Amino acid sequence: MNAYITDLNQIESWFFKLAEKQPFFLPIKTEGINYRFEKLNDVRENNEQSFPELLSYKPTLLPPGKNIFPDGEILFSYYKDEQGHYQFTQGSNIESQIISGIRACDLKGIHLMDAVFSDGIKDIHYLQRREKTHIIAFNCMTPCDEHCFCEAAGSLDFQTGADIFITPLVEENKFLLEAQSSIGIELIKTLTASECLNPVELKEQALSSRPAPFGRQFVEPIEQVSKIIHQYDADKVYQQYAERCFSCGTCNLVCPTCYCFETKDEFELGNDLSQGRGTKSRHWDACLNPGFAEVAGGHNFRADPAARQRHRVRRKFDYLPQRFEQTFCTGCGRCGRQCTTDIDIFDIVNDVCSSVSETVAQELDK
Amino acid sequence: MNAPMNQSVGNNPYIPMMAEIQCVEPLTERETLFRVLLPEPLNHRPGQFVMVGLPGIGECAISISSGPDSGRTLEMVIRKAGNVTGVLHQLKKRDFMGIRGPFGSGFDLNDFRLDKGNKDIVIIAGGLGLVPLRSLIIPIMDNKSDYGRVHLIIGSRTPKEALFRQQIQQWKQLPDCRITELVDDVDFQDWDGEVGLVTEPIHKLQLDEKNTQLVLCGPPVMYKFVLMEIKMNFNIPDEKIFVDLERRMRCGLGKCGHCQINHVYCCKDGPVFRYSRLNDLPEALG
Amino acid sequence: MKPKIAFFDFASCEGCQLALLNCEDILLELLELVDLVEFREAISEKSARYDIAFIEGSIHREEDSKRLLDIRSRSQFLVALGACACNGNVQARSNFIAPAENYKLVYGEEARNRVQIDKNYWPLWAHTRVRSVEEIVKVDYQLRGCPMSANEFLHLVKALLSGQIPHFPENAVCVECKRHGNECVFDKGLSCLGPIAYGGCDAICVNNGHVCDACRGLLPYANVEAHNNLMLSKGISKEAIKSRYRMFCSAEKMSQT
Repeated sequence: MNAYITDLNQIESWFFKLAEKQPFFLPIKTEGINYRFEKLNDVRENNEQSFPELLSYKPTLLPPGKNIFPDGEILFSYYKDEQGHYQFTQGSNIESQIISGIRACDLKGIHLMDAVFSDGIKDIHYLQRREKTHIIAFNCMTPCDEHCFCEAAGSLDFQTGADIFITPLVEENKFLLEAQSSIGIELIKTLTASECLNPVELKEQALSSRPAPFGRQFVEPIEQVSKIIHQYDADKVYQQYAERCFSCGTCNLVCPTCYCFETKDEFELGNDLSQGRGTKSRHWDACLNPGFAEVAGGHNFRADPAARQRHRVRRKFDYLPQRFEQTFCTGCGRCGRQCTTDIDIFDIVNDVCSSVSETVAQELDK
Repeated sequence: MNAPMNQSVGNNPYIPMMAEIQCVEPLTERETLFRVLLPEPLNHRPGQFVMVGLPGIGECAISISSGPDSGRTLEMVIRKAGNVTGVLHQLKKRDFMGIRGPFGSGFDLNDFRLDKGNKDIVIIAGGLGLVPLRSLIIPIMDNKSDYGRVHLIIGSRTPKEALFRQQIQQWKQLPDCRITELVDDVDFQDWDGEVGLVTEPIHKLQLDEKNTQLVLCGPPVMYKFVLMEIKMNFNIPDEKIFVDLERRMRCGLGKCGHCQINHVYCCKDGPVFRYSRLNDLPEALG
Repeated sequence: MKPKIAFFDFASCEGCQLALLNCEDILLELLELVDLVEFREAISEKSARYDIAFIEGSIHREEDSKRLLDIRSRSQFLVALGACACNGNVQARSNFIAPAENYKLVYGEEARNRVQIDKNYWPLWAHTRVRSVEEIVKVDYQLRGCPMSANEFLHLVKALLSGQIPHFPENAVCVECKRHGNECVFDKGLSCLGPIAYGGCDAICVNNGHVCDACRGLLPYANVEAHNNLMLSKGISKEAIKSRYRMFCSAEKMSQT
């Protein structure tokens, strides 16, 4: 039996216990209106304890998956030995971490990144860090805010990949904790809790108490959305949104399933003006940046902002789903929430769907 | 073996093999042929590419220009176009350069063999497009009796930019090989070939249309016009037409996203595509 | 022979040179590799030819242009150092103001009345037009920002000294802001030019609790119209928006605003 019932006080003091042994991240309010995953020990001085918003916070500025795919990660270091031969060393040292308070949408984001980085030639930097990352996720009971559309995107009930999964129960201040892995079983040992004998029943009760529908809904079911995005070019819709797009890349950089990167090679200048030692690192990139698809001769394969907007939407609903058989938009709402010019992928998708049904209706009329 | 191996580090796909430069041969003002010795054979297929560069400086995707049986030797033609290629051009014999790969799908020689019923092979190369296609032409020419009639159409901007002319002369001596070399402009230089665009000789080809394999590589602007000309004159099935595309690449592993063409990664699923596949990839010839 | 590097001052606060002097560790290493000539903040010496000439400051007078042309003719690489040299900086705002008005702003009503009567009272700067370095000579590289970024400076020098081409990514400040996980300035109830401004600064202002005023200039693809609408929707007046755009980006792209 790996299910336990406890209250928020116990969960909080358990977090502090876990944080003594390894870096422990959880969502903490920023100076403004947002949240950010921060190290518990760093915030301890300011926050005496108590994280009332742990299970109700608005999705963080950056998704927790970025802790596994950090910006500026060193891919290798090198130096030239006395014979002038290059010697290489692996990237940075990877230490274990716990990320806690992960919403189901972000849990799915991490699950999708696992699929991407283990596909084909494996990306050992991501996979090693992922192996040392332990996850405490939870079930959302209410939509986080007006931007959320996780149910529509099919990630509301996502539970795979968490070492421990928390469900707030109907009874106030009671939480069901399920250990879903051997590491989860190990971690939960230090929690003061009573064993739960009827987890399935309690969970069902909790889930059925959620509002329905949960958050915003697409005008079509998700399977249909993918088909429409795949089949129709809908240039007009993309163009409409592109007109007010800054091509600033924010939507990409805050997305839990955007993983494109740029590499950067750096060297220390030796006395003979040579490049005797240095590193290769990778940095988050954005396909909305105009230069993203430019080749050596100067030809840009996606020079038009509408083409870049379409590329982003299709990656989430068409391209990557073709490769991995899952929708790559988790419905977390970050891109729409953080876009300064109010471009929301949810609206684009709905507009494409509506414009297509109009077109189909017109064709039928003829 | 002189080339240092990366024994201490296993399976980090970003760490290159260091290959020793055996020969640096300038071909034109901008293009130089590099022949390097690898610590171990690449076992590449024609049409594949490698990531070439120097640690601390950067990398570029470079087509493999040598045939698949070249063992530990690897030939590449590098155009001086940016920072990395500029630095590579400063390298000399016995210097080292970093190589990762081979990457991409490449060609399957079985698709071209006579015993698979392929009577004609048409290869159209514009400018640097000849460089990757040379890795396909070499094994065909080396075992000519295994292949049918070969038609090469090779275009360059001017005579001084024409590549591998000596080798092309040797290919011309082989049975059933028809080679047309063209330049857009003779530009006051000696030229014994023809003048015009690569589209011009296409209609003169004598082909067994149903049993023809056609391969195409060149600058982005070339594809649309060549394909239009082919479609106007011949009835070659789309799955027997191959295009070799160019994209910006950073990782070569199908991860960094820069080379993506609709739902495929050029570095992984390409750079060689059957034309039949491009129906589903509207960005391919964009 | 060591490569010769020179710094030249025009109209500026010399803050960029100070920004460089502040990173002593880098500078001392660099001095081992190069000969530094013409660096008023640090040293005084003259040289006939320069491998890299850094130009700091905007160009105001005709004699300044002549000096600049001379430096160009003696330099292999010419680099515009900092916002003044790259796009005119704040002083270029005077390009939009009548000389007499400008004079009044500085010396008061009475002085303005006096110059209108007697031409001898016009100061040297009164009839100048503030220009970026690029408006006069060919610029090989630009190190943008007020002040310039020491990291970019180092990248450029290392690249040029080792026979490479320096590369400066062209992206909005937002890219770097997001990489830092910053809260958006607009979410704090403030306004920001980050979405249309040249990055490369590593979003240093926002990282430190400020807003972006586009000291590196506007991106070539800046969607100024959309940004203008965004600012209006935040209740900022047309005049205030215009003045904000002109603060650092005076010498360029003004036709769009």
